[in-house]
Amino acid sequence: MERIGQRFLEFALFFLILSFVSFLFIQLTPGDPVRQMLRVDEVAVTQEQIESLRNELKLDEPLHVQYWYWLKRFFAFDLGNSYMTNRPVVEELLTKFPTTLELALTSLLVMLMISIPLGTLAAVYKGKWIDHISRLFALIGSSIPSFWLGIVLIYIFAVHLNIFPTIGKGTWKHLVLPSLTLGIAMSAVYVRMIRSSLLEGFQKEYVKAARSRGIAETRIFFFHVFRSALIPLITLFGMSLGSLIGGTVIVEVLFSYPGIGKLVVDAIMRRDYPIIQGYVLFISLLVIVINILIDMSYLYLNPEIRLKKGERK
Amino acid sequence: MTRCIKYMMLFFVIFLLASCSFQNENTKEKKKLTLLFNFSADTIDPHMDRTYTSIRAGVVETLVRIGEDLKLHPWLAESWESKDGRHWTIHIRENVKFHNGKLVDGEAVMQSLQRAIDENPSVKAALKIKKMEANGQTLVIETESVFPSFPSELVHPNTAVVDVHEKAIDQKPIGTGPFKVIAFEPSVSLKVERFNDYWDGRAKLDQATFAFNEDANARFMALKSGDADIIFRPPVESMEQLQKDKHIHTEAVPSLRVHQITMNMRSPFMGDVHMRKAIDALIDRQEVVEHILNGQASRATGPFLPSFPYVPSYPKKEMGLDVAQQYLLQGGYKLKNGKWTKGGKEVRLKILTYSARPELPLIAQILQAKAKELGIEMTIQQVENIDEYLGNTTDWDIATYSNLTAPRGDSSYYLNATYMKDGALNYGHISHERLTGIIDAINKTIDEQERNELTKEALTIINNEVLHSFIVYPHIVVAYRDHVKNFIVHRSEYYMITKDLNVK
Repeated sequence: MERIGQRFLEFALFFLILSFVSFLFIQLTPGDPVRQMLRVDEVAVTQEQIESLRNELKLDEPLHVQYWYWLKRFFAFDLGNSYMTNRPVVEELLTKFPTTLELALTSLLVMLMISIPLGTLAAVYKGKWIDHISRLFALIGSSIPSFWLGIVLIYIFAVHLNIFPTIGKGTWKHLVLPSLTLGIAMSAVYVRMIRSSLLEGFQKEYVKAARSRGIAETRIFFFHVFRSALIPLITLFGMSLGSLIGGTVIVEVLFSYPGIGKLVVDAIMRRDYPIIQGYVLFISLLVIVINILIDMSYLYLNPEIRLKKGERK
Repeated sequence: MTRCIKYMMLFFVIFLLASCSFQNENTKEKKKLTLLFNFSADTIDPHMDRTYTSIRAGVVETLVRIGEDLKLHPWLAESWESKDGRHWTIHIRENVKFHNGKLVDGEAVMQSLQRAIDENPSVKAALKIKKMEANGQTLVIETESVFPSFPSELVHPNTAVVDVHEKAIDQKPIGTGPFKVIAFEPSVSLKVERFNDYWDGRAKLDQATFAFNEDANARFMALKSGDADIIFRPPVESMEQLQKDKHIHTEAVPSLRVHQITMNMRSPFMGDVHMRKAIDALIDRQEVVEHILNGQASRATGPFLPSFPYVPSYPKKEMGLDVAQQYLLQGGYKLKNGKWTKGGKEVRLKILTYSARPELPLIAQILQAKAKELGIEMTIQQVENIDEYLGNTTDWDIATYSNLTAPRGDSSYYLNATYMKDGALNYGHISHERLTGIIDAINKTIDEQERNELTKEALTIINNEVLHSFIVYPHIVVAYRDHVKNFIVHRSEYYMITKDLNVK
């Protein structure tokens, strides 16, 4: 109970610091939401009208006062309304998040479908042609920008073969090209990671011991080598999931598959401070949750950690 | 047995006939079309949406519309009048129905306008309404001050009329247009279907999809693959390929936007009209059109397209290095060691530009090269937020900028915002007594002819004094497949899916 309370306090402190730092950075970036809201590029407004709206939104108050207003609302579970759509920030984020999550999960699936077989084959047949292919794939995959890969996939599968649609969402077909674009780019890193983890695993003393005891190679591979290779992979996975959710914007724009990444980029362009602030907090919360889940998964995957915990008790 | 076979055969024949008729029913294809636009919408609330999707998709309508002739035309308002430019009587068209079947009257329009004002500060600033009163099909509006351009502000898409009593206006606005909303997926697409009780005759299409994609290459691919029938702004480099494709038509019309050079009157050199004229003479507009915008622009003569009735016939300007030199000599500048000086001080200018419109930094580079040839050192500074920089600093001399000058047809928006002392776009700190007087007069003049004459006078001053240097009117480029019929590229870009739009 004491430990839960301590963790909760840590998170609260982390949130407070993060919210203040992000608030500060957002406010210090150039741009004026009031001019955007009044659409000075289309409507004849005077400086007086600009100042009046700035005053109404309390944007002319000192930064710490503005932060205090925001914090008060935050503790009342209110992240404010978007300047541009006038809809609650929470609603905006929750509407877009499922799309990004869907895209992130299917991209991860594509990544796993490519990187596990290719990385495993490259480790098992080290120095053979399949290993060279995997190296080439990793090199090309990590060098190709995703927007270009997306265009190439559209050109092949939509324009020429006419199998998948280029825009929109709704059916599984709409998910294929965006997921492939993101999944291929991600798998380039994972293929090499899986290969090196497996090779390291093959050299472990307990693997050699298992072999000497005559245990079948497939059993050694799946129950000992592959399992231990999953630990660094899961660490990388945890680190990349946050950036994947936040960084899908290029693919979202290209395939008209808009999620949370596109939402925040638009908000930055239009200086929609409540959305940006809400996004920062939402993503940080997500990253914290993911990291806790990953910490917990280590207990299952690595008996060493489990045993050490048991010893401490 | 034979009887049984006969019955079976009869059943088979009936089944075949039924299948045929069923198939006929199915093959009677609906007339559908997909338009792919380059800005995405997160909401289709007509009062809030910055991309004006619901008016573009034919879901909602405003009281007044701007025609292809760039003049105001009645729409939901049958007519309007005002004797003093402050008290307006608007007669709402009769027998117009919302998509839910309710009739549109003065009260409904008033409630809709009130919601737009309450929700959107930009509409509040644009309309300047003090009081509204509805009586049957008549709406009486009093503006805060004399406001002769009020009817043109009613063209603003954010003033569109919706039934405010309906819920989820941001997802399914109930308007009066030829199409009603089926489904809206934020930032993906808006699907609409024909509204059979439309007041101006039924639409030719059964359904339409107004989709969004901000990537020019993706839009091009969507057109090529057949996912889209009409696309806005294909990539410039794809134009040749599109023009060669016999199944695709391309169209380009000058927009209501102008790329211009803004001069800072507080800078030590740009306050001098001779220097402004010299800079203006340096800009080779044809080079900008051909080499920077690949022919997708027209040379600008002033802030507004020449087809507006209030644009004067400008005298032909002499351009080039020699002309620029002459202006500098007339202004008392001296050429020493290939550099221009005045009062012993070398002329060095700072030009601001920004990347949001990629052609603007290139225009700045062309100008920099020409200025160097002339003997003026020009440094380019690219800023992230041009409005912020121009508004808050004075350490610049000139800036590349882009303005929508007459989005609703009237000239007063641009003139007030750009040349009046407290105008939100008067970044050059222009304070010209005579020009201010004329704009004041425009703001108070109700007679259209008189307003046009006054505007001509104002534009002549702007031209003679080179308060801005106008470079090009970029084109709106659209590509569509050959089965699309009656598609008109409106210069305002407010009306896209119309009742007349059709497919073969």
